[in-house]
This record gives sequence, C-alpha cells and structure tokens, in this order.
Amino acid sequence: MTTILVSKTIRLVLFLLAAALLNCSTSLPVSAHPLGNFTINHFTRIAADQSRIRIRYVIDMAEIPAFQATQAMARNGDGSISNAALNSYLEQAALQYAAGLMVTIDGRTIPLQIVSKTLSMPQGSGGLPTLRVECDFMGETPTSADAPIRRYHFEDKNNPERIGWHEIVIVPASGLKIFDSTAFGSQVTDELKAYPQDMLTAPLDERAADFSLTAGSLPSGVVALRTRDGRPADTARDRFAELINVPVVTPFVALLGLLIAAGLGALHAFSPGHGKTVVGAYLVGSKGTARHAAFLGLTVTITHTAGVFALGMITLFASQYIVPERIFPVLSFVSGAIVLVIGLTLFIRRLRGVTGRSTGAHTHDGVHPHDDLPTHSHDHSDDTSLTHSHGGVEHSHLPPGADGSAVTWRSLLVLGISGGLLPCPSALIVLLSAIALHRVGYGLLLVVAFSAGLAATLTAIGLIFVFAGRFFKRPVGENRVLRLLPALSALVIACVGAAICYEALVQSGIHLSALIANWSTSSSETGTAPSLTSLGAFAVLGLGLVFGLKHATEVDHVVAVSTIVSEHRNLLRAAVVGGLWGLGHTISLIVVGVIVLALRIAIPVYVSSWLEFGVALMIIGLGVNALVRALRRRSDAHLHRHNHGGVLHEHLHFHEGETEHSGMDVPSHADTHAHPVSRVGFKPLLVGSMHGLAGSGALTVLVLTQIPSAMLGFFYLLVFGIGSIFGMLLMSFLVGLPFALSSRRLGTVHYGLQTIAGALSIAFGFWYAYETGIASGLLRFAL
Amino acid sequence: MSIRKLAISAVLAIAVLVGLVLTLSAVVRHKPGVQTTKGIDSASISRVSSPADVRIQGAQLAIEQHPHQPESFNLLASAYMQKARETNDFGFNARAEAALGRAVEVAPDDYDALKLRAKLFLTYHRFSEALDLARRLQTVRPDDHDVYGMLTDSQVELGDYAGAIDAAQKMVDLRPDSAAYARVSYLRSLYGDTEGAIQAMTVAVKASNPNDPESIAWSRVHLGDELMNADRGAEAEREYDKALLTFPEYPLALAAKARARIRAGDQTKAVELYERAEQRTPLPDIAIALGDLYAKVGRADEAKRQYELVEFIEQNSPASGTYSRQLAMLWADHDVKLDQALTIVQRERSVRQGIFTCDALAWILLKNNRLDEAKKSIEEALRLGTRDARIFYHAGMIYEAMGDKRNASKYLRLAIATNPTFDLLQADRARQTLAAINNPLPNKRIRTA
Repeated sequence: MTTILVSKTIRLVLFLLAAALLNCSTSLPVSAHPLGNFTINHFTRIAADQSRIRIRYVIDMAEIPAFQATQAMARNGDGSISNAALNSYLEQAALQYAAGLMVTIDGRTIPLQIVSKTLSMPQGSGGLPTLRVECDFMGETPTSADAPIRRYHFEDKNNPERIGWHEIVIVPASGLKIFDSTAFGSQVTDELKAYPQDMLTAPLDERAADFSLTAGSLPSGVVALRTRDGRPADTARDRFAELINVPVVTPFVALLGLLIAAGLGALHAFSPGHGKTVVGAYLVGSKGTARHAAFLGLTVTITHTAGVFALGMITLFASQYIVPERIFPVLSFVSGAIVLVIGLTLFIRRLRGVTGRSTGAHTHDGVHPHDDLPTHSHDHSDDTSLTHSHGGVEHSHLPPGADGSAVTWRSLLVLGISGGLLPCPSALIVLLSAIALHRVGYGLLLVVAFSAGLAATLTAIGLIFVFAGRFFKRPVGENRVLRLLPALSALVIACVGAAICYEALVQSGIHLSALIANWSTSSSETGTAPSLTSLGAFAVLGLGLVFGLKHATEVDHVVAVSTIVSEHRNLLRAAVVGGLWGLGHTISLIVVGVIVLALRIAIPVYVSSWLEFGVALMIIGLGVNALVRALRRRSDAHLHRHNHGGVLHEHLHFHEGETEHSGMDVPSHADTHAHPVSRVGFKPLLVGSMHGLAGSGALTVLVLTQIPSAMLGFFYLLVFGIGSIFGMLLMSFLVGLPFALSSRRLGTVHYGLQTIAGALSIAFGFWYAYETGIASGLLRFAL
Repeated sequence: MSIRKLAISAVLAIAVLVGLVLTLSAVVRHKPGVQTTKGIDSASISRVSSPADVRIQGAQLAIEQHPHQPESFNLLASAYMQKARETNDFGFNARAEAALGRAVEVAPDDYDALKLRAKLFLTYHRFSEALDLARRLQTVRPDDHDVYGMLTDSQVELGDYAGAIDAAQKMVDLRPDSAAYARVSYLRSLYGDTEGAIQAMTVAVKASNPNDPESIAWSRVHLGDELMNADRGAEAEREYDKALLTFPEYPLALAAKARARIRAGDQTKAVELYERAEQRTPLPDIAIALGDLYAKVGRADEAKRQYELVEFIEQNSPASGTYSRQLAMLWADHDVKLDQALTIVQRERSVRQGIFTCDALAWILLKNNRLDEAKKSIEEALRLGTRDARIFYHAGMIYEAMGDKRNASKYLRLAIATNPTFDLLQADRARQTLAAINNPLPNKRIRTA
C-alpha cells in the first residue's frame, strides 16, 4: 500500500519535473514590448489638485535602447554594471526627463521638481535586460493661477522621434473635476508593466494632453473626463465605491465589505467638513457627557443614512432633470447655515451669561459642587432653545434622561442632523451602483455601515473632548476672560458654519472672494492680475504668514515636535518647545534663503533628498529617545516622601530629564525641588533647524520663481518663519494638552501616551525614511 | 490664574484661530485667476499622425464593423506594413503578420491576404518563399500588376535578373505607375545604366501617390542615390532635402543625406544626421556607418559601441537574420571573426545569387585567403556591369592580392571615381593600395640606396 503511494508520489514528482523542463525548453521568448525591441515606451500619470501638479513618469526601454543606454557604463569585475554608473545615469535621466516634460497652467510654464526616481533592469525577451526608469515629478501651481477653472497643457517632448507606447492618464484629486480633456482617466498598461497582448490594436501614441480643472461644479456644455471605454471617469480612486463592484457576494465578502465600509466611514469622518470641530467645541462648551456624545453619533448615523437614501431616491427618479452635483452645494450650504445659526445663538446666549444680563438667571446650589462661583447662572431666556451656561465651569446638569435636559438634547439633535445632512458622495455612488447591479439590500447595508463608522469617529472625538473636559471640572477662580470661553467656542462653531457656507457658495459657482478681491484690488493700486508677482508687498507678506501657520501643521513637523512635547508635562513648556522649533526652523530657512536669494542659485535635488532622509532618521531617533524615557519610568518616577509643615507626605513624583533632586531631606519642597519651566533645552531648536534645512529647497524655489525682488523674498521668508513659529507654538500646545492633563492624574496613562508617541514617531520615521530614502531611489545603489 | 484656566483659554483661542486660518486660506485659495480658454484646442491635441496611423485607425474601425471579412484584416496588415516602412521598425511587421493570421482564419484562401503575406516574406528577406507564393498568385490572377512587382523583387534578390526584367516589363505594361518605374530604375541601375535609372526614378517620383509621403520620400532618396552615382552631389542632396520635407525625420533620407555630407567633406553634419536617424530607430546599417564616422573623426570608444550595437541588434532583434550580411561585412572590414562571417555569407549564397551576395562572399573569401574562389565570386558580382564603388573596391583588392596589378589598378580607380567616399575607412585603404601599386615602393628605393 505504502509502496504504491510512494511510487505514485515519485511519478508525480517526475511528471512535474518533466513538465517543468519541457516548459523551459519549449517556451519561446515572449516580447514584452508591443512594438519590438527598438521601442522606448512612455507612461505619464498626471494628478493635479489646487496647489500642485504631480506627475508619475515611467520610461520603459526595450532591449536595444537599454543596451545602448548601458553600453557606455562602467562595469564591475564580473561584467555587471556598476552601481555608481547606474546612479549617475539615473540622476542625468531624471533631470533630462523633467526638462523634456512641458507643463503649463493657464499658459504659464510650471517648473518640475524631481520628487523621487528609481531605476531597475527587469528581464525582457530572451533574458536580456530592459531598462526602467520611474520618476515622480512635482510642480507647484502658481498661487496666482488660483482661478475657478484652470487649463492645463502637458507635453512629453522626450524621445520625440522614437517609436514606442505613449500613454497619458489624468487623475483628478478627490473633490475636483476635470473636463474638456484630450486625455483619458483610465490606464491600460499598469505603468508599462503589462502591455496588451492583442497584436491588432495600434499602440497608444499619446504625447500631449490638455485639460481643465475646477473645484466647483462643471460649467455647462463641457465634457467631463472619460475613461478609455467612454464611461465618465471617477474622481480619484473611490475605495468605498469599489466595495459594491465585487463580482459575487458571498457571506464572507459581504461581512468583509461591511467592516471595510465601517472603517472607511470612520476614516472619512476625519476629512474636513464633518463637524469634528463643531462636535468638540460644542461638547466642551456645553459640558456634555458621554451620553451626549453617543446621542450625537447616533443622530449623525441616522441622518447620514437617511440623507444618502433620500438623495439616492431623488437622484434615481429625477436623474433626467437634476444633476446630483448641483444638489451637493445646496445641501452643503444648508448644513453650513444650520451650524452658523447654532453657533451664533450659542454665542449670544453665552455672552449674555457672562455679562450677567441674562433674563432668567438664577443661582442654585446643593447638588453640584459649585464652589466660589458668583456668576453661576441658569439661562432660561426662552422656551424653545434653552441653554445652560455656567460661566465656563465644567459641570453637568444632565443626568441621563433627566427632564431638564431636553433643551440640550434638542440642540444636539440639530447639530447631529447638520453633521449628517451632507451625504458623502461615495456613499451615494455605492447606493446607486447597488441599484444598478440589483444588489440594493447589500448597498443599503454598506451605506449603514459607512454611516456607523462615520458616527463612531465623531462620537469618539466627542468623548475625548468630554473626557478631557472632566479634567477641568474642578472649581476655577473667578475670571472674566475664562467666563468668555464658552462664548468663544460658540464663535468657533459659527466660524466653521460660515466656512461651510462659503465653500458651498464657491461650489455652486458664486465667488464671494472674487467679488471681495475685485473690490479690494480696484480700490488699491496693485492692479488686477492677482499673481504673487504682481500682488502688493503687503499681500505677499500676508500670504507668507498664512502659509507659515499652515506649514507648521505638516505631518513630519508635528510628529517630531509631539515626540519632544510628550516628554514634558507642562503646557507652557510644551508651547515653548513649539516656539523653539519654529525659531530653529526660521533661522535655518532664512540663512539658506538669504544665500539662495543673494546668489540666485538652486539647491540640488539630491541635497534636499538627503536632508529629507536625515529628517526621517532624526524622527526615528526622537522616537527612540521618547520610548526609552517612557520605559525607564521606574527610575524617573518614584514615591517621594517629604515634609510639608511637619506633615509627612507621600506622593508619586516624576522627573524630567533635566531636573535633579537637590536633596531628599530638605524640608521645603518649593524652594529646593524646582522643576524649571523654562528649561526645555536646545533639542527643539536643533530639530526645527533640521526641518528648516530640509524644507528650504522646495520653498526657496517657490520664492525664487515667484517673487521678483530679493528684499521682498527675504521678508516673505521672515514672515513665513514667524507664521511657522506661531503655528507650531499652538500645535505643540495642543499636542501637549493630553500629556499635561494625564500627568496630573495618572502616571501610567501619561507614560502610556508617551510610549505611544515614541512608537508612532519611530514608525512614522521608518516610513518616512523608506519614502525619502528607498522609494525615491536615493539609497538604491548606495546600499 | 491657574494652568487649567490657561489651558482652557488657550484651547479655545486656538480653535478660534484655526477657524480663522481655515476661512482665510479658503479665501486665498479662491482668488479669481486668469481667464481660461474653454474648449479643446485642436492644434495642441497631439502631434500629427502619419498616413499609416490614419490607415490603422480606419482599418480598426472596419474590423469593428465587419469582423468576419478578411478585407478589414488585410487593410490593417497593409497599414502596419506601411507603418513599419515609415519608421523602419520591424515591430510593426509582427502586427501585420498577426492581422494576416486573422484574415486567413476568416478566409483561408483570400487572395489579398496571400499577396500581403508574400510582401511580408520579402520584408523578412525570405525571398524564395516570396517568389513561390507570387508564382502561385500569378496563376490565380495573371494580370495583377502588384504580383509582378513581387516577382521582380524576389528574383532580383535571388539573382535571376533576366526573370526580374521580364516581370518588371510586364508590370510596366499592365500599369506604368510609380512602383513599376521604381523597379525599372533599379534594374537599369544594376545594369550600369545610371542615366536611364535617373530618368525612370524621376518618373517614379512624379507618379507617386501624393497621399503617401513615405513612398514619395522613398523614391526621392533612391533618385538621389542614382544622382550621387552620376556624381551630381548637389542635385542628390536636393532630393534628400525634399524627401525630408515630405516626410520629416525619414531614416532612409537622413542616412542618405549623411552620405552626401560625407562626400562633401562635412563630417560634423553627417554625424548629427546619423545620430538623428539612430535616435529614431537604431538599424545596423546606420550604426555601422555612424561607427565608421566616429572612427574616422577619432572617437574610437563611440565607434566601438556602435559596432557592438550592430552585433547586439542582429543577434537579439525579432528580425534577426535580416542584416546578417551587413554584420558579416562589418567583421570582414575590421578583420575579425572571419570564419563566422564566411559561414553567414556562404549560407546566404546557397539561397541567393544576387550580385551583392556574390560581392560579400568574394570579399570575405579574400579575407579568409581563399583567392581563387574570391576571384570567381567577384566576377559573378561584376557580371551585370553595375556601377558600385564597393564592388569595384573589393574587385581591386582581390586582383591586387592575386598580383594582377593592371586589373587591381583599374578597379580601385573605378571605385574611387564612382564614389570617393563610398566607405569612410575602406576608401582610404583603396587609395593607399592604389598608390602602392602605381608608385615604386619607397622601401625598394631604400634598398637600392
């Protein structure tokens, strides 16, 4: 029995071996390139958004041009091409390709920067090497070209006479629309990795493309971007919409789909315009509880689901008459208006509460710990929307289901509805394609899951704010400024509402800012063309400040700073860390900027790349440092025993890295056991200057190309720096908040947070190092 | 004020600021900009498509509409073959072959498909197969003028010049068009009648289909070549320039103009032209010529790379074998791999008896020191009286090696007279050898002294 089995196995193995051998000997070299070995094939993917244009450029050389390209390269002893030769070839090729690509936006030529480049030599037919160069280029959209509609022209002038596959794909960023395009929105060859084997169709020969881009709705009478088979191209890749398009829905796939939908919904909530700020500000201002947050989440889910369903139905029945794109701005405006009204109402009420001119103000005591609060008042100004205002003191009047809570529940409901009113377009697409595919039930389920995920995030954010708010529950002294805070939070809500309304107006084609700008430019002498070059000096500097503020919030900056901040438990010190970072950043930026502006030189791309890589290593280092500190907490934190006026006192004690016990037996704690606030060290300064150096390349290019006067350029950098100092000051303050709060209460939570910050920083650092070092080809041949 | 109060105030202050920044940046982002031009600017869509591209598109439409008619596939095959001619890239011939395969699937005995297949055999240098197929087609339609063109071409290559003349005559009789006159011109040229060749090709140029710029350019290049042979370099170059105007960056015309520039002593321009031609499609004959040019101007490394490229292309391209004679001649000229070169040319000689095959064999036999066979072969190459500087040079060198100074001197003079720059490197050797034959050897004088 066993022998038979063994012999069977052997026979099987022999058969497989024979088959494999036969396969080897009979397989003919299959030409990977559709046009034969002479070709140089081009692939371009253009992704444009409001601020920049990104170009993925792939050159695939067939065997003969690959041979030509590598012919002159230096060889190693074994005949293989030396890495140095390949590196310098790649360096040259990327520069040459970048120069051969022509991009204009509204007639203005956009210089391209090399973001990354790689070279590989995959085997082609007959085992001969082919040559593949992949580059990522980036160009900044001139802020001056910030028009409602922009016209792009792209031309690939590399290898103009060479035969080969030429493919161009346009990818719009989400929320933007592309129309009147001579190129298509879908690709064929997967970046020249798989050519169509159909020998009859002519190879693509797309060497130029023109298209228009708008953030608003499509103008009438234009043709939206299409795929190669004539369908309208999706705006960006819509992962949620892909869920519905699985060929067969098995229970497992269905469950997986639902989970993914929920996850995507949760992530989606993080994208702007979902009222996270509103939820947070509201709950902080109105002293919400976990139940409130949950209720808010539930409302959002229901509203969002209902909204998608309703819009789906409307779209379905009225698709002949109404374009869905036209409905979105309207809904957006409505939800913005609701937020605005809520914010303004709250603001007025709270302001009144502060100034004590409220109509039904009364004091009360007994149940809640309202110590030392002279202006503690309930504000029952009218019957429809009563709001509690307690002069900024965090306490809860809202036991679950309590009768008096109806007021807040109602405004919560309104808030929730406004958060969920605007259906996410991809959810709508899923519903519609579900209907088209006769999978209505599954589609509905997916939408519900998506909404639930969305709500979960919002609720979680709400909970965090509620939780954080609890730390402030302690009675606070009388302070007029402090009592203004709820009013301020209401103002934030109103601001966000106004911003949403504004966006909606822009989407529907009404350009408030255009009107304002027209008015302001006509009133000033700067002229009408609002480009950076022709804008007044004041406007340029104003922009610099805004961009500086925004710049501080870039991921690699925030990660590095929060790692340092996580080591501190003092808010002031956290803010100082941010400020110092900004200072370092500004100093290095200005030093480099002055050199660049004075000498009118460009910083070589590889220098920037190495600096970026250095930043990644630095972030890893910071993360390791934070992690080590967090894990060493036993040596830092200890029970501390000392006397306070004769009473033996015992408490948990933490040490910053810099602080020392001056003596355990000294009676006065305050005198000798100082934890200096100002001592933050030079670390943030150094980190900031490293960031400044790494970022200087891109920034100075922008400044050089856009600002004519060196003096103005210098001031722009200065103001930009000040903006980034200020921005990072605020950022680090915000980041420091959870650390500061947790340090007061629970050592474990604090160190947990610090560990997480360190670990995240290390992870991000590695990813960043990979992106800047490996993926961009910086280290490919150096390793 | 406690730190907590500070915290709350700061959080909310930041929130206000963030709101303001967001609003501000939104305002900044939506500044009015330059007015855009709406609609698609047709001029900037793409570069101009060649006639072959247009035909390929048309054929694909036809296939969509009539997927079961061989005509659609024939149309596509012929369009791809035209594209291959336009670009000099063999890759398109493979597509033509695929299209023909589909046509034959639909209709196994389709006459036009077979005709295109015969044409494809010719481009693959499979001349005897082309001849067999053309003869079969001739029996089906004895009055098809195209078939006589293929009969001419295959018989010329195979060395049956009498048969080729008959076929060409029949072709002209049936329809005296550009294709027919081009063949007449070529045959006259082979028989040494340069003036007659120029006349016929001039007619061919005039009779060319104005909608097929590649064929006009082709005719002009060949007219130019005949003019060069008649030592009318300026006129020849005008023809090449016109060819390049009709069909920009046409590789044949670029290479021809480069040859004319070399003859005029303008090597810099010639380098540029060859490099342009190679940029488009690196073909072995262009690479050889460019390599010689590099060698001549002292760019030895680059020359070496061109020669290596020739070997690489010949050994690794799908049309490998098409240029094997050029490769063998390259080796022979540089006195390397002489036995391999001999094998290649002997194999070719066994199936083709054309004068250029005989010439190549003679030259390589000489290099292999097989003088008697070389002499026999070169006489075959000279049998038509073709005015070809290279054949004359090879003949001169063979006679010189055999000690026949009179014939050696005669043929070397002929070679230089026909084209003083027929080959950058070999022409110099021709002159040196001629000088050595005519003048008493300097070392003799030393000996007597």
